[in-house]
Amino acid sequence: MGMGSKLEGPSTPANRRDPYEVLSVSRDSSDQEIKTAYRKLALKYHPDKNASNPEASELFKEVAYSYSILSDPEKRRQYDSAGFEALDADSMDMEIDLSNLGTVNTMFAALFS
Amino acid sequence: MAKRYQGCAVGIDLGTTYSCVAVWQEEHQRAEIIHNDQGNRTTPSCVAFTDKQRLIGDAAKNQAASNPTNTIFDAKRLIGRKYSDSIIKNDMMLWPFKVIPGVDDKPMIVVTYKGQEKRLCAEEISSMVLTKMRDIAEAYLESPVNNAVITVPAYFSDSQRKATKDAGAIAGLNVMRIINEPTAAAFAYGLDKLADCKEERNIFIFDLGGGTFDVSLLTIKDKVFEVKATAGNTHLGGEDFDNRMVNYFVEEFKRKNNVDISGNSKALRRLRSACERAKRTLSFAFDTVIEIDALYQGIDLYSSLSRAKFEELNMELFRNCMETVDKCLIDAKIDRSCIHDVVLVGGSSRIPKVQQLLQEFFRGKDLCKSINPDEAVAYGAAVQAALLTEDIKKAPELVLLDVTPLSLGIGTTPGDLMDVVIPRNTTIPKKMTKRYTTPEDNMTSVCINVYEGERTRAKDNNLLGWFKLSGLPHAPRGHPLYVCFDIDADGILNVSAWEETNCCRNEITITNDNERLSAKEIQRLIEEAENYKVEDANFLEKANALSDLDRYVYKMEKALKDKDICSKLCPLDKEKIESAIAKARNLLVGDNQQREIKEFENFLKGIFEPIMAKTK
Repeated sequence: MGMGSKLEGPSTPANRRDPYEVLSVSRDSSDQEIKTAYRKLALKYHPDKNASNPEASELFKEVAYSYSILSDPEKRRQYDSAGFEALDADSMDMEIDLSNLGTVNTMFAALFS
Repeated sequence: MAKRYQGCAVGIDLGTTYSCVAVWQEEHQRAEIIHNDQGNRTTPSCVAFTDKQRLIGDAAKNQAASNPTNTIFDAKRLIGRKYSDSIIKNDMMLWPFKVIPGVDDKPMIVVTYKGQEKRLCAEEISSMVLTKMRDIAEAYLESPVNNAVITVPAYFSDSQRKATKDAGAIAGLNVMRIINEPTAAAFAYGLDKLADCKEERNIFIFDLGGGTFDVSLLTIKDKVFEVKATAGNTHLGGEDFDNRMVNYFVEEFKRKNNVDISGNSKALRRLRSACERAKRTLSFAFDTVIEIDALYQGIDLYSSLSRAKFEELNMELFRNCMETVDKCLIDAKIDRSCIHDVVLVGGSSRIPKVQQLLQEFFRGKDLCKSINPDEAVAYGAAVQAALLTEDIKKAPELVLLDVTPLSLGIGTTPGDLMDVVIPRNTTIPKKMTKRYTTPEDNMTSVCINVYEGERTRAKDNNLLGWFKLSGLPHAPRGHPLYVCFDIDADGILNVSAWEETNCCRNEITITNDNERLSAKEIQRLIEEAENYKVEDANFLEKANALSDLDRYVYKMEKALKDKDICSKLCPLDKEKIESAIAKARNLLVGDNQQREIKEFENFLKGIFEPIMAKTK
């Protein structure tokens, strides 16, 4: 993973920020502190509150992603021990082939699904 | 990207059986439910067509028994579904109106309007109800209303949501956002009851309405409403309880009188109305009687129903509700003992057995009945509308973190498996990228099929759209590709895919074009909706003109009967008036243009007034 490819978004392997840094909490912060920090940032960056600032939406996604790791004890433990790779290893060990069905098949599926 | 809207904005709860509209009142810092022209705070989601006019709301429902085949309700059960959907097949057996398959298997409702057959899609019927709700709001606010937040059941699929949005567009509304009904209700509850709440509270919303059932678990703290999980059934509600009662009485009638009324839509409609009333009664009484004179072939239906029997008839459905409650708590990973408030929403949440089962489920917890179950959803929608409106400066300082109700993913080989990219109950907006690989050597293109649903086999889920990623470099099997799902706060999903070295890239925004109405089609329907509006207005004007003429003729007749006046009339004048009255009577029963009627009234006045002046 992360073979120097240029990918976008908070959940792409290349340029993810440390979730503790995103939420501005220390590594030994309690669940409650993490929750409070998340709510504060969610209120600040939610797109509904930032009609004139499209970047806020991306920041919100980063905040939510960081919170999804730190609010789950298992994921937080994995991240603490080996960073994002530990999380990716978990979800990536089941790589599945993409559909190679031709468009004809797909259209058939679309018509009769 | 969230947009800010200008002008008046309302919240509309577009229900299966009833709809409700509310507006945020900035000066009072609360939402207000707007009553309709009959003084009711909810309006039946019902549209009727007659040989003279179109009726919406109370007027349509009130004449349902005499015009069952042209009185359309339940459009919400059709919207965004296919004609071949088994749910629709079952519903059709209970509907007195006709539904036929249209283009792309879209269900079309057939009505006779002004003597002509018309085919309408569910979006059109819903748009008519929305138009009515908008008119109600405009009459109250005395200003045009262009923007609205419309609610849908949390468990509505993508195509049902988009079809609802289209209905709004046909009604000429800017749909600011489609929000989930239980979430809207949580807004209403949270704002009203938890204004100064400092502790984190877990709120469980139980929303059992006329046609749909939803549950949502939210955590509220520091002005952040975070939806933890949602679950539901888009086809379970008060109408299903009515159906069970109707079936029971049809059987009983058959047994007692040896006649089957199940093919007679008029009799069924009358029975259904009586059952709906009986059901409501049984929420406070233990017994009720059902009396319908001359229901069929002159035979009366006279029977009674106890609360216990009602519960027995619907127990399976009630149990079904509780399973959904359980599923939601499991999804949220929150134990039932950690729920602080259980909030009842939707008319059917008044059923005592439902309350009892729910209370038992939460180990005797008191249920919160402090918000109006019929109005909470519209109230919350109005709050969300205020949050999205530019002109409202003092909107409540809060934010809603909603979730995706259904998992989103792509189809993969082998075995056509659904691989979930965004699991259900994920907070939106959300962006997620996943790595996939090519299944064969030297593949130049792959097909990305985007699905929504919880089934393992991709084909069993709803196909939202598909696209091709072509121009892949020659490489052995297992070449990595990336697929990114990006869903915004409005729930619009954008899927992109690219090859690792970024040599090729493709993306789609899921719009459901194959099932959805096209922009052109919507434009046509908007124009048609305008025509309906003009026709309704013309009908009203004509009806007013007729009534004015009638009133004038009555005045003339009264004058002739008045001995005092009569004695002063010369025989010639009297004859003149009498012949004018006779002509007017003919005109009143005939089918004439409004202009003729108006002209004739003036003509009458021209004869009558000078004669009357002579008598003074």
